[in-house]
Amino acid sequence: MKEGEPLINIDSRSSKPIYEQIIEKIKENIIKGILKPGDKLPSVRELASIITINPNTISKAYNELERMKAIEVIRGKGTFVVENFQPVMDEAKMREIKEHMKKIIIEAHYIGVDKDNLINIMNEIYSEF
Amino acid sequence: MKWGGVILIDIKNVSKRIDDRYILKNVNLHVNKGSIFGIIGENGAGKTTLIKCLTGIYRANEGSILIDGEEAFDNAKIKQKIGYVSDENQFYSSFKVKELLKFYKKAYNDFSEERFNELNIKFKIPLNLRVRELSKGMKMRASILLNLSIKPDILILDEPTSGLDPVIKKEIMSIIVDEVASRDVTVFISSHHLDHIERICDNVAIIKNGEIKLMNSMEEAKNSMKKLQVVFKDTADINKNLSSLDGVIKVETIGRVNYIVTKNYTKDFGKKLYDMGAVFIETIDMSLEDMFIYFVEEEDKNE
Amino acid sequence: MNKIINEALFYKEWIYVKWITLLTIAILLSSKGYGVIWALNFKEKIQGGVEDYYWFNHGIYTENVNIFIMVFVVIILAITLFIGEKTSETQGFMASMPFTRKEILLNKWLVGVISLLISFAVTYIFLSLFYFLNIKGLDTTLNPYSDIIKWFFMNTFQYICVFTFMMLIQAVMGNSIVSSIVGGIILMVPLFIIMVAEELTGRYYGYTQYQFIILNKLKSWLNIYSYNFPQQSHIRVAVNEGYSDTATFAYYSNYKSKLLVLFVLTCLFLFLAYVAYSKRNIEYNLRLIVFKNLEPLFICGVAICSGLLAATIMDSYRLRDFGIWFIIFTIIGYFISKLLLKFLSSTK
Repeated sequence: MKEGEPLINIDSRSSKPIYEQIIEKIKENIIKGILKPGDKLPSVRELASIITINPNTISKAYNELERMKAIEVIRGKGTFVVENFQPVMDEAKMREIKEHMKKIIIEAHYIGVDKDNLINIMNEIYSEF
Repeated sequence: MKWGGVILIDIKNVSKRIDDRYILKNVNLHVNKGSIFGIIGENGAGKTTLIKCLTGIYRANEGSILIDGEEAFDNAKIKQKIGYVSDENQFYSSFKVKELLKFYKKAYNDFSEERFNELNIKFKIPLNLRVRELSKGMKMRASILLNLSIKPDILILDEPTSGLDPVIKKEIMSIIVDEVASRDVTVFISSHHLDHIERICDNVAIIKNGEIKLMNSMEEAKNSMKKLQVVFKDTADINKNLSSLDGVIKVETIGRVNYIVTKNYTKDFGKKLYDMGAVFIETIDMSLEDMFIYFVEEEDKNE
Repeated sequence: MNKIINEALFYKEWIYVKWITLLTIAILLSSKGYGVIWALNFKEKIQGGVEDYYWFNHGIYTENVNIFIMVFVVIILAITLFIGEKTSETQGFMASMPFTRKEILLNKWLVGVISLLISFAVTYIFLSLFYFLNIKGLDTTLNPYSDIIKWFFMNTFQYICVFTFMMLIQAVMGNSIVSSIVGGIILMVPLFIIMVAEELTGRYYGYTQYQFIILNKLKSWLNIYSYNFPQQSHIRVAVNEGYSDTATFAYYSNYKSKLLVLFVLTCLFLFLAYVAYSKRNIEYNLRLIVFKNLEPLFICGVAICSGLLAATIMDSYRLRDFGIWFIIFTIIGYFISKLLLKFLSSTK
């Protein structure tokens, strides 16, 4: 955790549930390398206090991340980013992703963005990580 | 609603009358252990009266308020475990802070002076000042300080952040959240600062004219009330048709774009819109504050 | 005893009551203490006179303190104990803390009683010391030590009784200052009414008839404030051969009966105060009369008292004039009481 770096910015206005936002932000931080494998995450209590979010919500996010095997809880020591991330295939999530992609493709079509442009955009985003 | 928790606060069919006027009408609520319950409403809706019934200051005229299975009124035993932070100055103005400290220490069996001193490092309330010499922010912090030091199981706060600067507001919210995380405290909080409520509450209720108009988990509340930006192929009579849809509170048409606010949003709703000829649907983010305002507007219309 | 005394409540009340205790001690010492010292000086001036014999008796029984000062102290005591409970902001504070209403009221009463006891006890000790230091110049049969003991009990019982009555009125009314003052006045009302009745029967039936005599006797029992007023008696004392003179000495008349009456009244008032305080609802805490069904009583009381007061002041010989003044001022009193109820009650 870099000193002074905004930990996680939660947008309470967003229609996306807070626990989902937390999950995403942590996943993003892991992918971007801000959180490295083996790094210690703040405890539920610490995080709740820093970003003033209900601890039950944070618990829920952590549980989900644990289920995804992105983080692990070591008894007595704390919560850590897993050393070797083994992505777990999630059928339901896959369907969701497909739905989202369909929507994006449709909307892109309506504003005149074709398949090649879309692929360029995807490459750009991948290069950020 | 959060399922599977132990109900710690159970408010059943509570009505409260003061001077021939019903301030609370048939209120039903329950709060699970370890959760944070927020109650929001306009001024004069009955939040403070409800809280005073909860803390045993008022006795309900009808119905019952059970805290951990016992009636709260005139119950010294249960009040040992309840901390109450009022929205106004609740302490005798001529008492010194250290006299208040001693008073709390004698009154509450589980009062911890170590915790008091530990918290006071952050709060910095001078012990030798009299209550009347403290600023509003300091009075509130002193109240929270004392109430947390009694190691309560339940913390009841009536607009704890009103009139305070943003730094202290965040501090207070942080501390409340920390208590819940570390000691599984159950919190009942009323506030006008809906952004705070949004962030920290598990469940929320809206009270209007003494009645509970809505009670839901934060998540479900935000999932079911949505604002949509919709464009239709055919614009004839669209406004009327939209308004008649089940759950739609408000429809605003600006040019070709219709803004719809609905309180019963489901996936079917989107499908219905497509059936009606929608070509473009987008959900717009709505904060709890927006939701509250629309909700109250609708209730006002219905009265 | 532990079940009744609540450390926290006691501490909270004592923070301010201790100052009143000091004040009371100062008042008592300056009046009673000074009283006996003065009597000693006086005796030393008048050597061998007949006044010599009962000097301590005079010192201890003479009331130098204007009766109103002690009552004033009791009024202040009652106000101090209740003022926090009757401010709109802090009234809920006690109610949200882990105390039962029974505990709150009883501890207030105990603090007040203990304050009075301490004040009188300190004075008692002073008087005892004074007595034993000057025992040589004292005729102990004529000025027995038991006088000091009697003084202690008579005064403590009386002022505890008055204080308990104040507590009762505080429990029934809002506005702690007005409550105390009203409490002080109510204690005088029965006496006042009997005095008026006595005077009227005297004029109408004659001052020697039995009606007048009964009322006259009743009068002395009705004024609680005067229980500790000593009776004067005269006795012929032989000074030296062939010469005797009259000396006066004082004593409490009907001492034991008065103590009993005070005790019973104190218990009664305490019980009623407890009942009233338990029934009291904080929603109506700031009304002048907290219980709606007692309001008519207040209105009648104020009306009748103003009627009687005015009629008495306008002292007219003819019964008819008395009646007219009475009716006029009763009506005025009715409206005044309504005004008081409106302006001295606040709603939060």
